[in-house]
Amino acid sequence: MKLRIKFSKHGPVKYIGHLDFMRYFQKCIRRAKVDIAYSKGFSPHQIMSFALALGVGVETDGDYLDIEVNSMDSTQAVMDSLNETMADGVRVENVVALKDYTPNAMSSVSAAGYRLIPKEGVYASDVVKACDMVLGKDEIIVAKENKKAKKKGKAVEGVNDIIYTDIKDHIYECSMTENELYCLVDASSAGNVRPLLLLDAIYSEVGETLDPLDIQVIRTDTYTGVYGDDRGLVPLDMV
Amino acid sequence: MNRLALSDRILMQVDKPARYIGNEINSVIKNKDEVDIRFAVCFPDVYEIGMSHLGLQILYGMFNEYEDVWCERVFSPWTDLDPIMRRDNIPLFMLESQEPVREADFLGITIQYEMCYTNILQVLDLSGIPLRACDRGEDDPIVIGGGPCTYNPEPIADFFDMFYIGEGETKYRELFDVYKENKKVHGTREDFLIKAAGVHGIYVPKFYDVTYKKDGTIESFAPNRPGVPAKIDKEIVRDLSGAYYIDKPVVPFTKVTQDRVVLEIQRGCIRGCRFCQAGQLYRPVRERDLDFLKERALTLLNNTGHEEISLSSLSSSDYSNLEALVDFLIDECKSRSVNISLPSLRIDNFSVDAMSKVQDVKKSSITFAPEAGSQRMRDVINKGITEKHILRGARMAFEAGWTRIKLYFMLGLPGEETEDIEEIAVLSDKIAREFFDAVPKDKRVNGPVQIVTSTSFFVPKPFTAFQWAPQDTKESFKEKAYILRQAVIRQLNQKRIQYNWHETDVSVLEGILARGDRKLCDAIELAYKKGCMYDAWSDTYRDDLWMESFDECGIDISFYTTRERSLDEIFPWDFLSCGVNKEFLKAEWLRSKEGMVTPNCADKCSGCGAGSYGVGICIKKSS
Ligand code: SF4
Repeated sequence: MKLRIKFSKHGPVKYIGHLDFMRYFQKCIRRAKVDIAYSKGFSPHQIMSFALALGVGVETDGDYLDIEVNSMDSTQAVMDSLNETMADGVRVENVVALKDYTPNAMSSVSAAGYRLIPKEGVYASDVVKACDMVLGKDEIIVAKENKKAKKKGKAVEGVNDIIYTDIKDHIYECSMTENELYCLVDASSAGNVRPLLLLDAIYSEVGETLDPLDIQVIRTDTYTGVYGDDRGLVPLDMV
Repeated sequence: MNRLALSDRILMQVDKPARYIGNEINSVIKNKDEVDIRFAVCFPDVYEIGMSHLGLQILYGMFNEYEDVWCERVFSPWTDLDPIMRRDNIPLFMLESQEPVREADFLGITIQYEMCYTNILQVLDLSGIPLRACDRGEDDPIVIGGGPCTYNPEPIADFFDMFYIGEGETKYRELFDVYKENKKVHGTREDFLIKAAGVHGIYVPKFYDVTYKKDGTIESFAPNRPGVPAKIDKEIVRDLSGAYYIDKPVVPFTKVTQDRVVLEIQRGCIRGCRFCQAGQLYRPVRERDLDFLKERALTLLNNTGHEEISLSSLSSSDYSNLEALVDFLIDECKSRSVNISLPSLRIDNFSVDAMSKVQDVKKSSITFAPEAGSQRMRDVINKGITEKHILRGARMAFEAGWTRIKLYFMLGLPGEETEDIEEIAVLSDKIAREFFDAVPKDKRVNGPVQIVTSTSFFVPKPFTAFQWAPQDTKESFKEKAYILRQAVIRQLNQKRIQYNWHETDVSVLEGILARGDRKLCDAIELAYKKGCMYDAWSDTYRDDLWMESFDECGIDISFYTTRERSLDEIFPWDFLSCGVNKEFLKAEWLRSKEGMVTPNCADKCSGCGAGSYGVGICIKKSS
């Protein structure tokens, strides 16, 4: 039986990186005595997959992982036992049983919502104004590190170390006040948009440089489905 | 959750910020106003190393069971954070409360290896505690050291208010009560030190004076005030199954070196390997009950959620209930999908069977530590195994499907000749031959044999038979490694043997510090001030700065390393006792020169002196 777990992560635990957090969750599952299924072999692994990686420093209201269990009393019982053994700042928000053949969390992610909040003070008013200007453009070009080339050791500075992409079509919603920028963006593996790149484009519009460390990023939820479709986007636990 | 000591900006800039946030599962938060004593327990190395140390977890758990004590953890900030804390004047903090270390009543530092001495100074310095005990005031925490290196505390004596000699489980309660009592009567720091010096196992360096002979050796070492013991005997746990043992260890957020449940099955060792300090310090061997260990294994797995369990002891094969324990663990762990990481065991039917149940023969390797290549040297070090044992063990492993063998040896052992070194290569080759002999061609499905032969350089340690022995020079170490490399190349199966050796520089420094005296305190402080830190890490180790510091302090390093000590020399650590007496060690040193072996405690008691504690194997024998 497959379960989908929705969790939130706030406060100091945001400094735990993705790999460590996966390991943290595996230990929670053992402590909570969830009857999770294991892979076979000499070093068995829990059958578990996270929908999206969460970068160091990013908080979340809605991230997901799928697990496979052999048995359980109820989804509520799984949720309660997990919450009993969570560290401060991490909470299981929901546990749902998945129907057979539901695509796994990782492959079904299509979008994610983010709040970008200045850690101190507010956004400058010209930056807030620039938001609509940027969104009104035909294209929004951002620079990304060429990770593939870098991994292979084939990145050459000034030649292929940076790739420029147009993220315009991958931004579904975006609004900005002096207190926060909210955006709903593509989070699929093909077209994933890093929200700070969008904010960076807005800063550049008015000739400012963004220091990413000034901004607290909070993922508000993770969605599946197609934006603008009949059913539209639905949170991963509403499938 | 408390405010963090480090700002968000700093945490986002340093590597692995989760090291610094505390708040891990099973970490203990108390109300500071409701406790009498705040204890900062420190492992002076990076978080991942410190959190892997069982002793620290034991003290942490035990102290926090005391209602009047709050124990918190402190580690060395990594090299990226260290300069930031100095630049911004951020005091070193305890993980739980995130408050400065200076808020604590005690700063207890566990000292596991000599190469952490400069990190001790880093911790004190960043905490804003004067490096020297004599410069500390009423508001500074009492700095107390513990762990194996305190069996020669002299090179770091000036930096500590006191040392706790021996096993931590026994005397802290009494020490805390003395502290509280002293506070109640408004006693000073000095008053407390005087009272503490009366607690068994506590060494307060400032109450002892040392005088030296012209040649630099010690003339006298004696208390400088009445009521302070001339000889300090170690503390020892009498009944390990009745003593405190962790049930809820802190579970780190980041992947630490020992990311698993650690079950200490026994303390001490029956073997009397003459190079091994731990084998002497923890005598006599004391076992934990099988039932206690079974219960604790399950409790620890439940309370941590770790996916692996390992056994810890100096020589696990000697634990009398090993088969029953391992069988139990294999059963239990299988049903919970927990991995068992077995310690290196003597190879016999039982261990081969157990190992093949818990690890993949194709991926894992079998470890042997013959320590010396020739039988003559193995007798000199009293290793107690013969080539026949090793070859038979290797054969069993090959027949069970293993192809990878790891071999550990030491270079620079006392009395070592060129032939002894070359024998290491010969033995490696014999093991390879054993493979081709034991496994017919059509059965070599896991590939051909692979032998990894590693050598470390021998460093003589206090409280061993070799405490009188000269240590090799750096040049000689290098030469010996070269001789061995050439010898490996000459072997028939040289392509199957991979030879690795350790750095020589650190072995020399380790040798200086291990058998050093109080005169070294200045040089250690100078080395730290010049920028030495994390000496145990090859990337950060600065041999040039260390040698400069010794030079500037007028220290002749050969006095500590290559000099052969005379039999009547007073050693800096002679005022301490680990139970094993100097006469016994002296006899062992002389026997080693004759290549005479001494039986282990299980075969025959040799009257080492540790029998005076009246515990463990010593009383098992006589009853
Ligand atoms: S007194 Fe005898 S049995 Fe006890 S530790 Fe020493 S040698 Fe071993």
